Amino acid sequence: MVTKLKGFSTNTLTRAAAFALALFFLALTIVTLYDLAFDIYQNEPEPEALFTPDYKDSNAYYRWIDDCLWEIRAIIAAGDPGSAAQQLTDEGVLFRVQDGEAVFTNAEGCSAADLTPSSDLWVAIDNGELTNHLRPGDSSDTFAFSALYADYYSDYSVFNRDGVSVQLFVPQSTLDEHQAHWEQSRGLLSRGLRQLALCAVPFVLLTVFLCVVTGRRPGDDALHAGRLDRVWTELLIAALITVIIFSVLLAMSGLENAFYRGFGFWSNRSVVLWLCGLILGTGYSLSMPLLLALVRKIKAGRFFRHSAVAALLRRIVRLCRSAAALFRGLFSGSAFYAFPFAEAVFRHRLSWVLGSLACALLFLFGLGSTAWFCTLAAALEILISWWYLQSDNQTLTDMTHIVEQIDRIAGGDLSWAPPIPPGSQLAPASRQLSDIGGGMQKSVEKQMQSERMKVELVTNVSHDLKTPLTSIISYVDLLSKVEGLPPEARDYVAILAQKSDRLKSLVYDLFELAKSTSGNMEMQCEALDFHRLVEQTLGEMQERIDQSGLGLRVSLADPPVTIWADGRKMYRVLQNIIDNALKYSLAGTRIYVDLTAQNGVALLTVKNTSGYEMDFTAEEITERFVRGDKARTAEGSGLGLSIAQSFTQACGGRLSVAIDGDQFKVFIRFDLYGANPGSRDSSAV
Amino acid sequence: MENPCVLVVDDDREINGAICKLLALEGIRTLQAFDGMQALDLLAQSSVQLIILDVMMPKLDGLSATMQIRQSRNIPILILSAKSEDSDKILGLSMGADDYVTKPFNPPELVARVRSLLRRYLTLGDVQRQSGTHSLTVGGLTLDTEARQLYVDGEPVHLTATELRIVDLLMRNPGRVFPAEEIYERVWGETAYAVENTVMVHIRRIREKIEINPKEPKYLKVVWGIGYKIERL
Repeated sequence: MVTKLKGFSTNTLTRAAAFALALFFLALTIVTLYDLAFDIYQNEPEPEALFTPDYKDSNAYYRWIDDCLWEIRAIIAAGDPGSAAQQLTDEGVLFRVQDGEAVFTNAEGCSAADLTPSSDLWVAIDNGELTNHLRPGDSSDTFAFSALYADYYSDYSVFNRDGVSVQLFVPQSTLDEHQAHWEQSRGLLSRGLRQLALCAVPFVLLTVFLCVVTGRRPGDDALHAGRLDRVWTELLIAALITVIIFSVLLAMSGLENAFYRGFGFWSNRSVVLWLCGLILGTGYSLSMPLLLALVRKIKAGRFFRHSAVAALLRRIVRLCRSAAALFRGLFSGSAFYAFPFAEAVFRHRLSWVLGSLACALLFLFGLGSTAWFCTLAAALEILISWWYLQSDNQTLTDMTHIVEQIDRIAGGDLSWAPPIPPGSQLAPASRQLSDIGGGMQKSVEKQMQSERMKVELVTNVSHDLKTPLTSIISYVDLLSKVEGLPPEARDYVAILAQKSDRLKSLVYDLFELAKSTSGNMEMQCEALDFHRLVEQTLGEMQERIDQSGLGLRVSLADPPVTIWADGRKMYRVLQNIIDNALKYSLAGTRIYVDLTAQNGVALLTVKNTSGYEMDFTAEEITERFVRGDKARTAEGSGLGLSIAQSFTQACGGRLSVAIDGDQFKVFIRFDLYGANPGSRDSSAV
Repeated sequence: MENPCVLVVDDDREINGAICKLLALEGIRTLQAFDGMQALDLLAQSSVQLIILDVMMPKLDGLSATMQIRQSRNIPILILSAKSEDSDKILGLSMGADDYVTKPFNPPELVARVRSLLRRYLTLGDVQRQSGTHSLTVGGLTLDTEARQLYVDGEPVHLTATELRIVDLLMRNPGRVFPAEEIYERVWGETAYAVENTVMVHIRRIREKIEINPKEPKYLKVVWGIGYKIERL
C-alpha cells in the first residue's frame, strides 16, 4: 500500500500534473489577489477590523480621537478655529474649547455641560487634567495616551495651560457611521483572505509536494540527483532569488500601473491578469527547478558541502593544514626524511637568517645605547655570514663533485671517487654512486668474461674436434694408398673418405655459425658492387651450375649497385643460396636470380622450384639444422641457410625466405651505399 | 739432388705419424718432434730443408718457434694449425712462416704444398738469381716476360696468350685490385660491356693452373664484389 502510494506520488506523470495544478492555483491566486488588492485600493479597509469586531475597541478609534485632539490643539495654539474647526466638523464630532475668555466650538449655543452626555463618548480636559469619559464599564487606562502626550510632547502642552478646557463629543450617529465602515472592511477583508487562502494553500501544498517527491523515483529508495545539482548552492540560491524578485517586481509594477494609472491598456482587468499570470507563471516555472535542486541537495546533505563557500573553506583548511604540516616537518626534521641533504642546507639558512636578525636587533639596540654594541653586532654579522658562505661553498663544491662523478660514470669511468669529505651531507650520495659504478663495472667484467669464455669455448671445442678429424682424414688417405686391398675394402675406404670430408665441412660450418651468431666474427666490410659480386659468384660456380643441368635466368640491375659489406662473407652467402637452389631444384626447371636497386635498397631475389614437397615454414628453414625431411639424405650440413642469414645480418643486410607452393624464394636486402662515398677508401683492400 | 728432409713438429703423435707416412710415400725423408724445444734441438743437430709446425704445442708453441728459427735460419716453414681465423693466418705468415695450412687438411694438398716449398727453396733460388730484368717474381710465381713463360715454384706452366696477358697485368701490379672491366679493356683491348663472366672464366682457368688448391688460392685472388688481384708476397 505504502509502496503503491510512493510509486504513484513519485510518478513523473503525477509530478507533471502537480506542477500544472500548482500553476493553475498560482493563476487563481493572482486573480484573487488582484481582486482583493483592487478592493483594498478602492475601499481602503482597515485591516484591524479583521481582528477587532467593535470599532470602539480598536486602535483605529483611538487614533481617530487622537487626530481630533491634534486639530483641537491646533485651534488652541493658533487661538483661531480656522480650518481645523471645519476639519473637525467634517469628521462629525462636536467640540468646545475654552481658553480663558475665548471660546471655540462647532456646536454654537451648547455649553460645556451640554456637551457632557451621559452615554456617548467624549473627552474632556480641564487645566491639563484629563477626564476620560468612556462608555460605562470600560477601563479608563486604555485611553490614557492623550494625557501622556500632554505630559511628554510639547505640542500638546497647550492643553496644560491654565484656563484651558476642552470637550470633544462624538455623536452616536458618527460612531455608527464608523462602525458600518468598520464592518464593511471586515467583511471585505475576510472574504478576500478566505478566497486567497483557498487558492494559495493548494498552491503551497502542491509546491511542498513537489519538493517532497523530488529526487525520488518509483521502484527504489535511492535519491537521484538532477543535472542542476552539480551547480554550487550559492549560485542556485542567487538564481532562485533573482528569478523570484524579478518576476514579483515585474508583476507588481504591472499591478501598480493598473491601479494608479488605470486608463487605457491598464484599465482592462483581464489583460492585466494575463500579464501578471504570465510573468509569475514563468517565474514559477523557472524557479521551481532551482528550488527543487536546492531541496534535493538538502535531502542529500550536500547543501553546505557542495557550495562555493564550503569548497573555498575546504581549500583554505587544506592549505592551512599542509602549511602547518610543512612547518611542523621543517622543525621536527620529518620533512627532510626524503631529502636528508636538504635538512642541513635548511638549518644553515635558518641559523644564518636568525643570527642576522639577532645581529640587526643588537645593532639597533646599540644605536640607542652604546656604540660598542654596534661594533659587536657588525663583527658578529660578518662572522655569521662568513661561516654561512663557507658552508654553502662547501656544499656547492660537493655538489659539483657529485655532478662530475655522474658525468664520469655516464662516460664509462666507473671507478672515479670525488674528493668529498666524509662528514659532508653529500658523502652518502657519492658513496652510493660509487657503489652503482662498482656494480656496473662488475657486471661489465662479468659480461666480458662470459664473452671471452664463449669465444674460448668455440675455439677449444673447434680444436678438439679438428684434431681427431685430422687424424681420421690423414689415415683414411694413407689407407687408400695401401696396395693390395680387397675391392670391398677399397669401397669402405672410399665411403670413409667421403664421410670424413662431409664431417669436415660440417665442423667448419658449425664453427662459422657459432662465431657469427655470437658476434665474434672478424668482419672486413668495404664498399663493393653487389652486381659484380653476384656475377663473380656465378662465374665461380659455373662448373657446378653446368653439371646440375638446371637453367639459370639472371637479370641484374645496372652496375654499380654499391653496398657496404664483407665481400668474402657475402660470397659465402650467395654460394650457399645458389648451392641450395642447385641441390634442391626439380630437374629441368630454372633458377631465377634478380637484382634490383630501388628506393635506396638493393634487393637480390633467388627463386627456384623445389624438387621436394616443402613441409616446413619459411621461419623453420632458416633455423639451424633444419632441412626438409625429404631432403635429409642429400649432401650438406643443413646449416647453409642459417649461415647465409647470420652472415647477411653480420654485414648489416637482411635475408628472408618465402615459400609459395613449390616456389622457394630467398630475398637479400641491403641499403644502398653511396650517401657517404668519403669512407670508401678507408678500409679498401 | 739428395732426398730432402722435412721436420714434422706436432704434439699429436697420430697426426705427426700420418704426415710422416704421407711424405715418406712421396719419397721425402722426415724427422719427428713433439714440441717446440725438441724441434729447435733437432734443427740444430740435423740438416733439415723444411719444417711443418703445429701452433698449439706444449713447452714452446709454433709461433714462438718460428720466430726463434727465423733469427738464424731461412728454411721454409709451413704452419699446420687448427686455428682457421684469417687473423691467425696473417699472424703466422707475418711471423715468418711461408705457408699456412689449416687442420683438418687435405693430404694431397699438404703434400703438394710441401713439394712446392721445397722446390722453391732448393731450386728456384737459382732461377731467381739467374733471371735478369726480364722476369717478374711474386712469391713462387716467376714470369719470364721475354720468353712469355710462367714458372710456378720453378716448374713451367702452360698458359694461353690471353691468360698470360692477364697474369702479366696482375703481376706487374701486385696487390692492386683490377675490376673485370679494366682487365678486359687492357687485355682484350675492347670496350667492356658485361664481361664479368668472360674474365671470371679466364681467372678460374689460370687459378686451376697455378694454384695448389684453387678453392683457396694463394696467388690469384678474387676480391668479392670488387675485382681480382695477385697478392703481394
